[in-house]
This record gives sequence, structure tokens and C-alpha cells, in this order.
Amino acid sequence: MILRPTRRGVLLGGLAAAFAGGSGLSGALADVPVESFEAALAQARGQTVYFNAWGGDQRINDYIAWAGGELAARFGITLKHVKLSDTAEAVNRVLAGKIAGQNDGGGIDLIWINGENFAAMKAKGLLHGPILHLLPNMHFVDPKRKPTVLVDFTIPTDGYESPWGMAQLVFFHDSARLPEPPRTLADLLDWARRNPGRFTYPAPPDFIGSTVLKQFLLMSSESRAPFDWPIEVARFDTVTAPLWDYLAELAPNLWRRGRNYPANSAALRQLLADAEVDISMAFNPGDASSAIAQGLLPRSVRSFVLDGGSIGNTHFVAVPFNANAKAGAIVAANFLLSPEAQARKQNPEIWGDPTVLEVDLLDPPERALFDALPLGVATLSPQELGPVLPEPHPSWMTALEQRWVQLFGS
Amino acid sequence: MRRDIGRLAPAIALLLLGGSITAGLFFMMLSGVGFVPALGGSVASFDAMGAVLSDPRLPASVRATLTAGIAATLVALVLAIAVVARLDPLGTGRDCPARWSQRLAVAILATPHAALALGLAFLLAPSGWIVRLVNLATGLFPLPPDLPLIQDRHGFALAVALVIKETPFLIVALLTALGRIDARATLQLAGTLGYGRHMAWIKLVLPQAYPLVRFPVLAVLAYGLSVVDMSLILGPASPPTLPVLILQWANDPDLARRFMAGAGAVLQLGLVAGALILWRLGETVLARLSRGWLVAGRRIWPPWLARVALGLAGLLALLLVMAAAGALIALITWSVAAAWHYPSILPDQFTAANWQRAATGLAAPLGSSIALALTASGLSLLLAVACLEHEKVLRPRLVRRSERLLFLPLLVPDISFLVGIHVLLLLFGLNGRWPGVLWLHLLFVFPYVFLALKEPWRQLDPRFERVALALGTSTWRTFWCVKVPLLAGPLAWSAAIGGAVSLSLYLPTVLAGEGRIVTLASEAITLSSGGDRRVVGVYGVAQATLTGLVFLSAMLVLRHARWRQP
Repeated sequence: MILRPTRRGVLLGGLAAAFAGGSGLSGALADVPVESFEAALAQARGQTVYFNAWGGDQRINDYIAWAGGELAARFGITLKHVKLSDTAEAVNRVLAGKIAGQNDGGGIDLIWINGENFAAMKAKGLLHGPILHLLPNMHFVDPKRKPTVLVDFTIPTDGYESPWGMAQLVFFHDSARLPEPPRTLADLLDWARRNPGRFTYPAPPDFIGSTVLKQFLLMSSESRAPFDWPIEVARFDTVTAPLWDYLAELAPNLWRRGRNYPANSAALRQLLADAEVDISMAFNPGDASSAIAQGLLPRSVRSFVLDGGSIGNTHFVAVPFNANAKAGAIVAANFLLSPEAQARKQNPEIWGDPTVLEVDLLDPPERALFDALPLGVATLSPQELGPVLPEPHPSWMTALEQRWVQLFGS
Repeated sequence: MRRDIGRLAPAIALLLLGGSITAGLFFMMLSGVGFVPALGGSVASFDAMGAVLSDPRLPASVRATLTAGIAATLVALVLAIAVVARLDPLGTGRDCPARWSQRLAVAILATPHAALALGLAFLLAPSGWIVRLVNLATGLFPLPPDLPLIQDRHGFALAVALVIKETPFLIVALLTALGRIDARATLQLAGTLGYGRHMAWIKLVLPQAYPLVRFPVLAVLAYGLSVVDMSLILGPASPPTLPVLILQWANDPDLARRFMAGAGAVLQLGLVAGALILWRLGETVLARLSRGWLVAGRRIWPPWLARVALGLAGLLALLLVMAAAGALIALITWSVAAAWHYPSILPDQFTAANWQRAATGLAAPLGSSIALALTASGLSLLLAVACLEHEKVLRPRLVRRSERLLFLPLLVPDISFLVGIHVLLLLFGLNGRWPGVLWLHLLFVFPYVFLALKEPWRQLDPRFERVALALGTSTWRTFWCVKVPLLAGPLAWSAAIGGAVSLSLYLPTVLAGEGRIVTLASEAITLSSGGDRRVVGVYGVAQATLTGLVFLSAMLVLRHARWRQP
């Protein structure tokens, strides 16, 4: 449920800027390159960092507000959370600035990002960096154990984004109504046939909806080889046929008979809370525990994963090329990566978002922060979570979304 | 001196509205044909329009948009007529029950539509309050029924919300019109000719009153077809209504999709224009068809028909009022709920924690909401008064013509021209800054303020002013000491409407504010995508309370003003 939950939102930033042409919108501040973290610390004091991050979840908003307080107290940085309903809004705004020739003094200093938004920003040269080598707390990250911290949807990050949290597609069921959830595609179809109207997924191109498509695609395909590469148009139909056949069989047994789908995973979670469906899903393994702690879900909700592993990725923060407060943004990114901030983030009573750090690399007092964390009543242990299936190349997502809309979204 | 500056007011108003909207539409057209060199579209083509027209979601989306918009307008109009005919059969425009209905109308007008939609969503949903109550009474629904009671494909839930929002608006418009056409005299005369009250109402009063409410009716229709915020909450989800679809394209990282947004905006414009023309055609046909019946001389309805029709309308109106009240109560209840799951009628526990948690976040949007509402409605009031004061020196035909222009923002779909206006904001470096947000707020606030103010202002007996001037009072003094006190009520009322409009604006706020300037309205909708009804409840209640306070203060001024009136 984390990044870019819906396409809703506004702004024709890029379009607008296109008309603006090369008109002078230059920022006021001279851009001093940030050479080291120490230099960043010195420059950052007194800066205001506009952090553009999806604002649809109060738990996350509260966490960001806490981070803002710490940054102000420790580094003299004012963090302003610009709440987005879709990260694409921020991408558009930066693009607008680029087209309008606004090469510094931009209105966005830090973006919460991954996937196709990152791919777009990196390809169009909209990011400042590389910044990763500047961050001392990267020391506690091990790309060998968590490869997705350096590879975002098969695209190498090349140091242009700093990992913030881990995500893995996890399903939730209300054990009061559904004690034993289905764990394979065949079982799911079987169960849905016997219990029509009790299952659905967010409508792609919602992020989670699209991830469910990818999950089902990987599960229904014999080989994952084609998905690590940009899509071959000629083979798309053959490769994806099993997926569409499966979804077509599933659709009439879905909530609203598949004629309507919830707009995003938060709406789906509400449906689970309202007993309208028996299963929901999110990209945050701690989501259910955290939601129970906050009274958003009944206490009887539990997590499960499908057999054979589930799609996982990492979400990041990145600095736009024209950020006004680059030093402040870098200090903020490093703070978000600190053991203290990461442990707090992983606490299911606060947010429940898994850390990108390797806990065994930490010093004992910091390790203790993690050891003290409650797992949460509905969170699976790492063993139970099972293997992580890496994301397919971003081109698959777009193609799957378009085809889904053709087949089911109209 | 004042007169000289003031003479510019109509020009300023025209430039503000006509200029902005024309420019916005111009840029929208350019992007619709993909002619935006900086985005790689250096050749005009109809590719984007083609892509829009061949989008598989389009037919269903357009259908839902039209169904919701037209159905809501029809129902709201018929209901408003019936309610006014029932509550104010004598056509006085200020009967006791009429005043009661006016207060009711204010109450609903004062409820921001986003908050109303959020509350209604909980009321009407298959797991909502109504189904929970039915389940409590009958045990029929241990699990919520799998029925599309909200976000249905046809947009009926959206239409219900629109009817609730628009009927009071049309009731107020009708009551105002009744006062202008001297309906009481007409009805008395008709009575002496043997016409029954209700028959006379339909045959004599309505044909006179309708032309006076035509504009509000068309504005309601245009609004219903273009609404974004309510559609996000109650409208169909997949595919959504056309305005929401345009937003999705506008937001897509894929540049080609953004040309589609431009093309979609052109289509939206055509859709609204077509619907408005269709409506006018319908009026003409209805007028033709009913002409014979109107003059045939039939004096009374069959008594059962009048009773059934008015009874039904009364029942429906009552249901809508109850729904609106239920929606608000639901919102308030959510804002203090700890945990609240199906099928509980009330939360397991009440808590103030939601408010405490939201308090820090509320401060900024609350402040900017208040600042924007005050500035936008204050400036609009100044401009409207300046326009009205100086229209005497203009040719009446010119005034009438330009007045139509002033209401463009109410008829032209906002998503269409806002797309282009954002370019201008960027050119002037006003994006994400106060002046830009204020500009867009003025575009929407000014027409409402002007609409609310113009009739009372023009109706003021000019002899008050003439006598004062003849007694040697200066123009300025006459204005301040005679006109303003006499019109204090309408002034306060218009300002309140302007403030309420500003408080409810979603699309212009997110567009110009770019998330850096946020209001309660924009935050409530952003947060509603996260599904925590309790936080949404807090923001909705805060927004509704603020709007309520605005009207409350206007009412205090009204009461005070009435007291002093000769």
C-alpha cells in the first residue's frame, strides 16, 4: 500500500511547463555542489526541505512528522511534508521545472519513489546525484543480502536514490470468517467459486493492483526469464495468455462480480474491515499488525503469502536535480536510513515498514532497538514470508496495466 | 476619484474571468492536438484525441458522467419546484415555512460537498449505517450484501449526492425568482379566475420563474458533469467518470498520456456544451408541447394527483435531508471512533485521540483555508460592488452581455481550462504560491458572490440614493452611510457564500497550490485515499464547522441588519 497508491491526483505540470518554454524561472540560490556528508551537514543547517511523499496514510504522515521534529532538533533542518495522492505528481512537477529551464531553486527537495517513477526520472535526467556514497548510514546496508536496495525494478539505481524501506506483497485474511486462506492460484479460484463476492484486488493501474497482476503472472508462468528484460511486443500475448485466462475465470466470482474494483489498497483494506471481502493485500508485511494496533482492522485479521514466494522490492528517497535544499535533503535521507529512524519505522505500532538495514551489522545498543520491537500480532516471521520474487522490468507493468484495462476495466 | 477607479472594475472582472478562461482553453486545445514543442509534440495531430476516443473505458465513463449529471439535475429541479410549491404556495418568497426551508438550504449549502460525499459514502455503502440498521432490525445481513450501492457503474450514488447538494441551491434560486416576478399577485389573480393554487403555480408562476432560474439550472448541470471530488468518493471506480479519467491521464508519467489529458479536456468541454444545448432543446420542446395545456383553461388538478405528487416530493425531500444529516452525523461519529467494524451500529469505543493526532497536521490547512476564504471572498465582494455600482454608466446591453461572461467558470468544465491556466501560473512563477492559489479561488468565488449580490443590489430603490444625493451628501458618504447599511444583509450573505465556495474548492487548490499550499478540502480528499475514515472524519468535520461558522456570522449580520432596516 505504499508508493503511488492511485493515479488520482492532479497537475499537468509537464504539459504546463512545455508551454512555458525556456522562460526564466531561475531560482535564487546558487548551487554549491555537495562534496561530502560533513559539507552537507554544514550547509543543511537552516534549510527547508520539501519532502514530497504520498500522504494518504495517517500512520506514515505521523512518522514523517516525527522525523521532521528530529531533523529540526538535531540538524536545524525544517522538513515540510508535501502530501501527494500520487508520486507521479511530483515527477511531473520536476519535469515541468526541467522544461521551463528551472535548474535550481526547485520546489521539491526529496521524493519518496521507486519503480517506473524512478525509471522515468533517471532516464530523463531529473535526479541529483549520485548521492548514495555520501550517506554514512549506507554502511549498515548489505546489497548482497538485499539486492533490491541497489536495483529498482531491474533498473540499477546507480546511487541516485537512497533505500528507505523494504516491501513484499503480503495477503491478509480475517480469520474469523476465513480461517484457512487459499495459497495457490488454483485454490484461490476454487474458493472464490464457492464464495462469490468475497475476493477482489485494487484496479490496476493502482500500484498494488498492478503488483497482483505481476504476482499472478509470475505464478502462472513456467519461466521467469522473459520478465527480467524489456517486453518483446511480439511475444506478449503468448507469455501472458495464462494470466488473462485465469483472471477471466476469476472475474465473475469477484466482489461486485468483477464489474467494479476498489480504487486502491487502502480502499480494499477498508472493505476487509467492513466485512465486504475476506482477503486484502498490501506491500508492507507489517501492514495488518499496524492497522490492528490503530483500530483500522479487526483483531482477527492475519497475514499469509502465496506458495512459491511473493513479489518484493525496495522503496527509496531521491533528490531532484533542481532541488533547492540538496544538502538538507541528503542529511534527511541519511537520517531516514539511521538505525534509530529505521527501527521506529519498523515498529508495527507506529508504521510497521521493514528496515533496509542488516540488523547484525549494527552496534549492540542499536541492535537492541530492533530486538525490542514487537513483531505484531498479524505479522509473519521472515521464514514464513518466504522467498522474494524480484520485480519484472518496468515495461511489463505498463503493458499489463493497459491490457487489464482493456479486458476488465471497462 | 472613486468613480474613476471603480469604472475599471467591470473590465478587471472581465479580464479576470474571461481572460483566464480563454487563455486556459487555448492552451488546453494546443495540448489536445499535441502541439507542444517542448514535450516533443512539434506537429499538430489528432493522435491524442484518437487515443482518447479508442480508450476502452471511454464509452462507460461518458455514460456514467452523463447519467449522473443529467439525472441529478432533473431530479434536483423537479424536487426544488415541488418543495417550493409546497412550502410557499402563496408565492410570497418569505413565508414562514419558506424561511424555514431557506434555513435548511443554508445548512446544506454550508456543508462542504466533499465532506458530504465522505459521510454519504459511509451511510449508503453495503457495509454502511443503513444496511447495519436493517441488519440490526432484521438480521438479514450478517455479511454486507454484495451490491453496488456506492461507486456503481451508472453513477447513481454520485447523482444522489449531487441532488442533495443542488436541490437547496435551486430552492434558494426559485425563492429569489418568486420575489422578483411578484408571484403573489399572479396567484391571487389566478385564484379569482378559479385556478387552484397548485395549478396556478405550474401554469402561471413556473413559466415566469423558470427563465430566472435557468442559469442556476445550467450551472448545476455543468457542475454535475464536471465534478471531480465527489466523483472520486462516490462515483464509479473502474472506469471512473470522464473528469476523473482526465485527471488520471494528466498525472501519468507517460508523456503521451498527458496529451490525452488535453484531448480529454477538449472532449469534456464538448460533452458539457452538448449537454447544455440538449437541455435548452428539451426546454423548448417541453414549452411547445405544454403550450396547449397551459392555455386550455383547466383550473385544478385531480386532487389525488396533487396530493400524491406533492406527498412524494415531500417524502423524497425529507429523505434527502435525513441523508445529509446522517452523513454529517456519520462523519462526526467517525472522527471520535476508536475502532468501528461491521456490523456494529456505533464504535466500540469513543476517543479524542483522532483529533489530538490530527491537531498538528490540521493547523496549516486550517490557517490557509481561513486566509484564502477571507481574502478571496473579500476581494470578490469589493470587485462585485464596484462592478454593480458602475454598471449604470455602461450600456445595459453591454452589461447583460458581459454578465454572461462572468459566469463562464460555472458553465465551462473547470478541469478543461485549469489545465491551461496552470501554464500561466508557471509563466509568472506563481505555481505553488499564494497569489496563484488566490487567483484560481477568485475565478470561482467571484461569480457566486456576484450572483448572490446583483439582484438585491439592483432592486434597491434608487430613490434612497437620489434623496441622499439631493440633500447634498457626497457620493462616497451616500455609498457608505445609505447603501451599505441598507444592503448589509445581502453583502454579508454574498461574502458568506464566497467564503463557503472558497472553503470547498478542491481542484483549483491542488492545481495552483501544488501541495505546498493545502486547505482542509484538499487534505480531506488526499487523506480519503488512505482509507482511515477517522482522520477523514476529523478533516471533514473541521471543514464543515468552519463553513458553518461563516454562515452563522453572516446570519448574525443579517439579523442585525434587518433590525436596522426602515
